[in-house]
Amino acid sequence: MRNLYVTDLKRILKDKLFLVTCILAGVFALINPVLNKVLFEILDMGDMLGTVVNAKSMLFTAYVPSDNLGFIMPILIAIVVCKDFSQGTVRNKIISGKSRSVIFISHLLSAATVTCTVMLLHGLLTLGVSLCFFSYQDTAFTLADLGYLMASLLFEMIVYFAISAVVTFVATLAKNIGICILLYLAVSFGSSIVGAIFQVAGAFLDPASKAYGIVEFINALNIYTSAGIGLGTAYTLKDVIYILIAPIGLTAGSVLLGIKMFARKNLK
Amino acid sequence: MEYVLQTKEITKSYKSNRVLNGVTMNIRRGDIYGFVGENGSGKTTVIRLITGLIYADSGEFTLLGVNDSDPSIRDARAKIGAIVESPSIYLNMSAKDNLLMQSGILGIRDEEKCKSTLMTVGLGELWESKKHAGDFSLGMRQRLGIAMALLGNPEFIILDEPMNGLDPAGIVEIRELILHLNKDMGITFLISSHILTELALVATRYGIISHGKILQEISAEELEGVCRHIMFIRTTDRDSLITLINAECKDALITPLDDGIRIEGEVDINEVLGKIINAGITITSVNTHRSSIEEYYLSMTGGGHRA
Repeated sequence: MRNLYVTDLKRILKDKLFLVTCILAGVFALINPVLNKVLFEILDMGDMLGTVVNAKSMLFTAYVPSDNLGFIMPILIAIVVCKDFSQGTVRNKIISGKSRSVIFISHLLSAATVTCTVMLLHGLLTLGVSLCFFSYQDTAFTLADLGYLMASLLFEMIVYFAISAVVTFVATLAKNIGICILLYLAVSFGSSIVGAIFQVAGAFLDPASKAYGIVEFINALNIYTSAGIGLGTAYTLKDVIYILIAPIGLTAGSVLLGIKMFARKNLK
Repeated sequence: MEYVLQTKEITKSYKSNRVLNGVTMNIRRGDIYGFVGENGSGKTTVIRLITGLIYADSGEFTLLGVNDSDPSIRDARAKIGAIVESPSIYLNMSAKDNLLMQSGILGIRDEEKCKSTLMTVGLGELWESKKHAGDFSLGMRQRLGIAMALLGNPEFIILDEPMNGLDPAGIVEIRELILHLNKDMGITFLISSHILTELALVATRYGIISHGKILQEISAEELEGVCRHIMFIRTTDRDSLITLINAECKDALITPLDDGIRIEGEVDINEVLGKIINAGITITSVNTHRSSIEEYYLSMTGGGHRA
């Protein structure tokens, strides 16, 4: 397993798309805070900086799965994973006696390692650049804020691990780069649209009503709306459950279904 | 007799299309097994089954002594090398990186072994080269694929159409490499090929497959025996020649021609010519010909398809 994981990791790191991803991560980390700063200055809303837009909001915006790198990164990783099928190199692993479940897990772990590492570094870079223009938040930064920040980053990584699981599942299902991209776009756009509909619906409901609770729960199940991470100052147990239920469920579902499908799949 | 592969009544269908129709074949250790069949006869499907890329609907096979239903079939597969259809190489990597990747999969991680394997296939000069495999010629890719298959010290190598798309020099290189690996390293080969005359230069045994069924397994020596001798004798006195040959060569198939005859079968050319000369019949020309593996293949399959 370890051998296969290291090999898959090297395969991703040697791919030109990985270099493209790293460049994009740097560009987005630089451009987004600068654009926000320039925009607020042009609109003469500089006094709102630190409250509406601050380094903390920039950091967690960088992690929204339907925007910027959060949207592009999984597609690039999906292409690299899919290449193992489209170039036929996955045959080397099967002929070498590796089990299909181990091959799937290795694909997932290598994709997740790269995705989470790049996203983490992208977030930290965004935070660093943002701090050059904005304060972290409109109140003083405390030890509790540090704990909240660390927990939020951990939750974001769990979300991106789940997205990697979806990507691996889609790549294994499609085996073809074009179909793989289309499938991922369908999943990503579909989830974002559904998420937006429920968020709008929630805005019209009484927060004390049962209907609101249901809508809130459905929203929590949608990782593409990234609901609840980094928006407050502390997490309640309910928040943690709502944040974790979707990524854990998605990861488990993708792994179980992926392994089951791959186990009986005829390969060219 | 030790076998590296034995299949028994294997069937496989894709939807309603039955591709394999009870394939039973036996490959002995040390053989270079020429796997012959027309397009769509099921050669690649058999290879995919053995290598674990697809699953059979029914039937079974034993690879290096392990039955395919045994979980340790994966350990047996680790002792084989294969190129299925085209070499499975990383096109965006150099030859060295390709071998290091494969050694990683195999858990060897021995750079010296990778280097020596690359030299074995005649690509030693590429060890330090940064050139990507995507820029290699077809022959170089094929040899790199064989190098990757060799890394795990395989007892059995499966090559699916290894001569496809190669130029004459490339074909000779691959042929010599196969013979070297078989004779000097004792590796058993299963080679499917459309180029039957080329296969005839390396194969020690043949399996002829048609419409998903093995029609015959035959050794190279046996094939040599059954490939018929044909002799053309031209003369100015055809009728006398026919009378003489009919009397002297009773087992041969004799066909009259305008200016002579065609004799098909095992006949002693010197003895026949001696008798003709002794009878005073004038011979204007003599040609001999041995029917090829292609002709034999066509006669086996009814000539409906070309391999």
